[in-house]
Amino acid sequence: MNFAAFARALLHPDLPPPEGLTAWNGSNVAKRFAVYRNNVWHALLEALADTFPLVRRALGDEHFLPLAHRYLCSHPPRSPVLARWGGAFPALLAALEDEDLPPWIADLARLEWACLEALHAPDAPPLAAKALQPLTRDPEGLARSRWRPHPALRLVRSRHPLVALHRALTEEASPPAVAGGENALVVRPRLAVRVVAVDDACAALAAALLGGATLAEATAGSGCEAQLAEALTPLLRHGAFVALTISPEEKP
Amino acid sequence: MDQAAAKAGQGAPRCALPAAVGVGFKPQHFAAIEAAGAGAVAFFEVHAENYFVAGGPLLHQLDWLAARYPLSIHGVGASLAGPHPPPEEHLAALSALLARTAAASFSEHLAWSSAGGIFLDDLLAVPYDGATLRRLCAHVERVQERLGRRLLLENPATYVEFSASTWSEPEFLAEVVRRTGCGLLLDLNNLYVSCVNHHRDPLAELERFPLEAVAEVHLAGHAQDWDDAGDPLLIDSHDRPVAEPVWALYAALLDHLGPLPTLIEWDGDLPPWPVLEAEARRAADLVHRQGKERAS
Repeated sequence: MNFAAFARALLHPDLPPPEGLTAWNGSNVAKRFAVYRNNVWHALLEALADTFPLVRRALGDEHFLPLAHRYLCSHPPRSPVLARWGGAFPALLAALEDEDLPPWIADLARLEWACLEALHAPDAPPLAAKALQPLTRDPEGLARSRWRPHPALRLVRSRHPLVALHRALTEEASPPAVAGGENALVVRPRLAVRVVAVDDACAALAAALLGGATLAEATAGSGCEAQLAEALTPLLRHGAFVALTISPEEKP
Repeated sequence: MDQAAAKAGQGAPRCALPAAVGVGFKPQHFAAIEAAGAGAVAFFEVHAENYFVAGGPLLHQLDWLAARYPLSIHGVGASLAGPHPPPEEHLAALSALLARTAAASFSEHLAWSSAGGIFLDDLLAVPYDGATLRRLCAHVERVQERLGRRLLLENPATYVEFSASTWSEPEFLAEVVRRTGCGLLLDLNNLYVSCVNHHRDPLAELERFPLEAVAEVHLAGHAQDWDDAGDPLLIDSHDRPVAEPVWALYAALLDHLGPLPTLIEWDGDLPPWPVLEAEARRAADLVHRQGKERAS
């Protein structure tokens, strides 16, 4: 049994079936082998479409399927866990520079991948806003605090109205007339994934905290000193963090 | 292993599926089952690899089911008849899932799905020869040893045969059972599809299988196409009700063996829950009648 030849013939429809196949009636085995080829292609293209349903909806099958086909040829799945397959699809879309495609399609794919990762991420109870109340009496400690992101937390920043697009496609409504960029915060405090639009200050703060900065560093870096509470509130309300730690004061 | 898995593992493991009817679980049916119970359905089966995730709603649903029903974990990615044994990472994930759900049964396929590092997502055929036999048995033994339990091996639906084959499929499976001690998951739709595709008599073929090793039965629907000579070519599609000739084979099998754990598989073009439950009820009625006849 030559597995490599069998697999090659499955993945390349222009190749003849592998040698050594028979049919009881002596009929051409190509038709029979095509059942396996169709199964493989159908299953894998549908698996990718399951991960990127809104990209498929936005493009329609006539555009989506050829792109999924290209992805399957260049990045075939390496594991039977298909929930892990598709991470490089947004980059393939971004590299296309195809003027027929919507300019936001790669960002939408990044957001759908972020949603899939969030869906399957470890469960964790989110940090409740009231857990911060005692810290209001310790502003220096709060400034030194580092925030542990929820395992499901993802941030996708876009030059396009990504959250509005995501909502419109989800609801099968017409795309929004909004212009300008949006930052999509992806959260899953319990079982349901949510996509929330946050302003630039909040997104910058979240990105810095995700990167391991202290609250003081993140605040300064995102230029939101004046509106820290406003930038932090949506993150806490949507369960973006699970804990914060305050390192001991550094001795002079 | 996380806390939930450790906790589930402490419970007494259920060691076998009930001689009753189950269905393949689909998340789309969860709300209906949660709201009104499973009706005639006595157990559920899931595809293992869909649950190789860290958290989230899929595992939440699985834990809910595992707390209420016997579960069958059905692997579709171990590629047991393939060139290489399943990687340790895959076996570790299976082991954790079996422990987490206190699974009543673990099954896999006489097929391959990965080669050259690529997962092809189909249950592909192999020649029934000495090389396949030795490789498959080594892989089955590796899995059974790593998981610490008996595996049920499922007969495939096939569309081609191999000139290299030196065994018939039932004899080949009987030899795998003899060498490895694994059980048989007898898929009657696969048996029927293969018999039509290779021009064999399904009832005669059924009697050649190692029926004493059957620990679970699968029933499913198939589609019909035609080969290049105009002869019927059946496709194992799992997207419709079980066909009448497959029901007839099932009745014949129950006559032979008495009530057996039986699963309705429906994976594509999913019906509403009541339609699937009714299909399970039809099988349950046959199991029940058979049980009564045996008792009287």
